Amino acid sequence: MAVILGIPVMILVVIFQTSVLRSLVLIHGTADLVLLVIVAVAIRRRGTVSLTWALMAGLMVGFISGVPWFVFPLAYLGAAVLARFLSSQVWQTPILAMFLTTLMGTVISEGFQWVALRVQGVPLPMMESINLVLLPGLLLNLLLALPVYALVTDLTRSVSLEEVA
Amino acid sequence: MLALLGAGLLALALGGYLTPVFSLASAPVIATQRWLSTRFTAIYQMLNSPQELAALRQQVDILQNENARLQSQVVELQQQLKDTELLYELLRFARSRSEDTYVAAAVIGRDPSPFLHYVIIDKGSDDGLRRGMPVVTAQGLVGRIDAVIANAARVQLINDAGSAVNVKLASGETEAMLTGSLTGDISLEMVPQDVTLKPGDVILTSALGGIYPENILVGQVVSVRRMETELFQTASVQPAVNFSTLRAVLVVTDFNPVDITPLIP
Repeated sequence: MAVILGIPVMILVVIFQTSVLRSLVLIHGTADLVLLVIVAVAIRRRGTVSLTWALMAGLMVGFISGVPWFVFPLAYLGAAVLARFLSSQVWQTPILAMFLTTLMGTVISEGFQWVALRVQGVPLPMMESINLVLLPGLLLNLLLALPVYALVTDLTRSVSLEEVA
Repeated sequence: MLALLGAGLLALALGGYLTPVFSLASAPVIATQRWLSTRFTAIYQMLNSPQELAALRQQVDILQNENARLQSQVVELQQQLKDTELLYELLRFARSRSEDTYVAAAVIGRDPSPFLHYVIIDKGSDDGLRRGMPVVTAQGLVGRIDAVIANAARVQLINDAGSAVNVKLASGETEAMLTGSLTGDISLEMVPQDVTLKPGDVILTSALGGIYPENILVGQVVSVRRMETELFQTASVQPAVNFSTLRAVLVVTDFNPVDITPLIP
């Protein structure tokens, strides 16, 4: 049920990411709503649901993006695994886990993208990428982390997907 | 006796002699009536005002709803007007270059990666689009199709870091290369040192490489960087197209770009 629910949810999130959020830019960084949703689901729910959602979302985004297709599935799976690990370490404060995973997940995701594009020969200076893309994107992700966590919490409760973390 | 009295009073009244008496007598009556009427009207309005108030409120609600409906209609019509103007500009451009065949497409999204400058359009292979086709607007060159599926396509913009466009100066036959960057700025590179490059010079596509049709407006030189110790001079270019507000594009469908991938080792 949770896996089936993930398909329309992730489709909507990806559509929102590409059509709305991608146009909201801070310097040259953007928020990654897909990453935030995956991390929030991974913190709220045990089991393999979050990994399945991460894989689905990664494949969708990889299909759309000009970045090599395997980058986003790997990045989102890594973020989901990290979220599950951190939430087990700081289980009393899931919000802290959300912030930590958002920070590290953003670095992982954009780091993977940067490396993959550099390997392809796209000229992306490292310091410019960090200063103009990664850091502003990280700030936006951290700003959105709490609202997204709250929304995902409501979503999981309303469709009875929640397991006590 | 009474008849005589009555006739006498009538005569006095007709003569106007009783007017002051009537005035004096009627004044308190009229005052009393005015007082009573005012009080009664106030009480009557107080008892009936809820009904009138409810009717007035209902009327206000109706008018507010109508106002909101008309305002949203105005917004919708303004949006349609903008779309119409945009499509008219594209049509005018297409007619001015009647030797090419175009497919109009709307921009429906952007690449999720912040490192790339790609847009997604709502036309695909079902509409005759193929990978490598040039994309333009009425203002100038936008980019080329990078990937295509049945009903959508991904367009690499010319300000993408991985983009390279062979261009020439409109003022002469000087060939150069236009490259994008991470920040979306575009620059002119590989311009020989002996070429006089100045702000305001117009940049057009050249036929070199066979990737884009010739003589499509790309942009204008903004600033020039020339170092005697370097082989080439470079320039910053202001693109003709505003990529941040891109909403509709034209895909040139009858231009076959040269595919040199078999030649690449």
